[in-house]
Amino acid sequence: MHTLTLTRPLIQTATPLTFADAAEQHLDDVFGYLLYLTRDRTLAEDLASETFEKALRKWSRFDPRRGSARTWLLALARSTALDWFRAESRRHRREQAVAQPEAQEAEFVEGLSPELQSALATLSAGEREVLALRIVIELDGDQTARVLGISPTAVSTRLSRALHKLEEKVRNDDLR
Amino acid sequence: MTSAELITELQAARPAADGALRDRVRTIAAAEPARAPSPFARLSRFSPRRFALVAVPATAVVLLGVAGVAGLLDSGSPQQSVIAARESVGGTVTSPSDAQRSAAPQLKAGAVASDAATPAPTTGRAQRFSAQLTLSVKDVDALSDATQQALRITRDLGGYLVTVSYATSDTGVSSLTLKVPTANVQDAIVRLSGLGKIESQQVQIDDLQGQVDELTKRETVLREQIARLSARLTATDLDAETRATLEARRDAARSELTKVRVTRAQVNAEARYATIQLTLQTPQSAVVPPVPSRFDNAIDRAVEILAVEAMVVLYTLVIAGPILLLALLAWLGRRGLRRRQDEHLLSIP
Repeated sequence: MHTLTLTRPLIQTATPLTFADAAEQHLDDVFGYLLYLTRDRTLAEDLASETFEKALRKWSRFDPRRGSARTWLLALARSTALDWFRAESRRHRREQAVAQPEAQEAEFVEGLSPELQSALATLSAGEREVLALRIVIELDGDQTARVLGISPTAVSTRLSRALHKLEEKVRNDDLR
Repeated sequence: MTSAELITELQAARPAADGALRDRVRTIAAAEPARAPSPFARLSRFSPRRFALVAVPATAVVLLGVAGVAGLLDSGSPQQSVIAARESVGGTVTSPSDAQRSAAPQLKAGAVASDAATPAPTTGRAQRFSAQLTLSVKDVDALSDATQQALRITRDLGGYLVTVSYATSDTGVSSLTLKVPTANVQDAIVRLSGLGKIESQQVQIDDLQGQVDELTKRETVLREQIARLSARLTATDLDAETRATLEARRDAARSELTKVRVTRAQVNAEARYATIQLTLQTPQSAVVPPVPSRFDNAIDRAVEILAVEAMVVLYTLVIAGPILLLALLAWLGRRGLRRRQDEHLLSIP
């Protein structure tokens, strides 16, 4: 006698996800990702807020068959953050002669050891974002690749490099 | 600290949004409009790539459909096609019902019709009668039989054969020039018409009676003139010069009389025998190219329309292609530049 195990229900009876539900479920992920990317809590909050405003405007275009709401919101958060980085880069270029770069928070994530905080601060934004997506938010390789717009192999390489660098920095701090 | 320990620590200190941010986001989410299931909302989900994947085959199907429907509508009725095809061959135009009758053995009916329609020579008057008759027979064997019968009919009616030309291959044509006594020409045409289906018939009658009357009158005048001249020449008191003049005039009159008699005999002979130019041939349908069916016409028309559509598409591509290519290159360039900028921005600690 054969036993048939269903990994998915035969009939999808779930009600469509509302924007409010998606926002409630994935706010921490979006905020965490932006915090790691910017190393600035206030800025991360502003960008998260802006991300959800954009997401609300584009919600009708969201197609659950093409990806989860989580990856869609994270990709939108990344695009929002990059827009901000670009604008900030232009502003810095304009004001380079008169303004000093803003100092970023030394401890941007609560609960992390000071060594790890300072080691994270030495990583590039690109390295921190892959750590955030793969380790903190725990996306899988394919989902991370989709958010970053690169291949899963490139995600793997970036993650390995970032972890190695982070480990090295922490070790060096310990030795001091 | 190992990588595993780092990961554990990072995961343990997972950041969470504070209450203020959560409230801000809830306020934003509260502005969500009720999602009405509109068809445009579904369409807006299509990415340009997905749209192209649907639009390109759909356009091709529409173009094919337009060509097919237009082809069917423009293909015309089969009757029109038959007539057009026969006209294009240059033969006698026959309606489809005539074409059907030719296949049926109704040769006698055709002959009777010919009898009624053929103008007859007027009895008692000299007339030149010539007829051209084109008949179709069903095949080459029938052509041979009909040719033999035509010769037999001609002989039976007191006529004779002037020329004959007989040629066959897949189709066959037999051309005969026949002389038949004018008195029997009506009978001859009726009987000859029975040898096949009349494709064409032409009769020409030239009245020669006036010419005969003129020649007869002239002959009488000349004969009287010769008689008068002969009577004067019998006189003995004529001088030599006058005699010579009269004799010359009489010789000229006699010579002219001879010519007049010959001409009158020729005219009478022409009037006595009618000339019938008989052409027997295998059916025209054997020569006519096969008449295309409505389906063939529809296919041809659809192919024509497709060719026009392809030309329009080609012209559009030729004209818009470089612009589209430049736009694509500009878009790819901008995207590449943006990626490089992003990488640069993300490489900063």
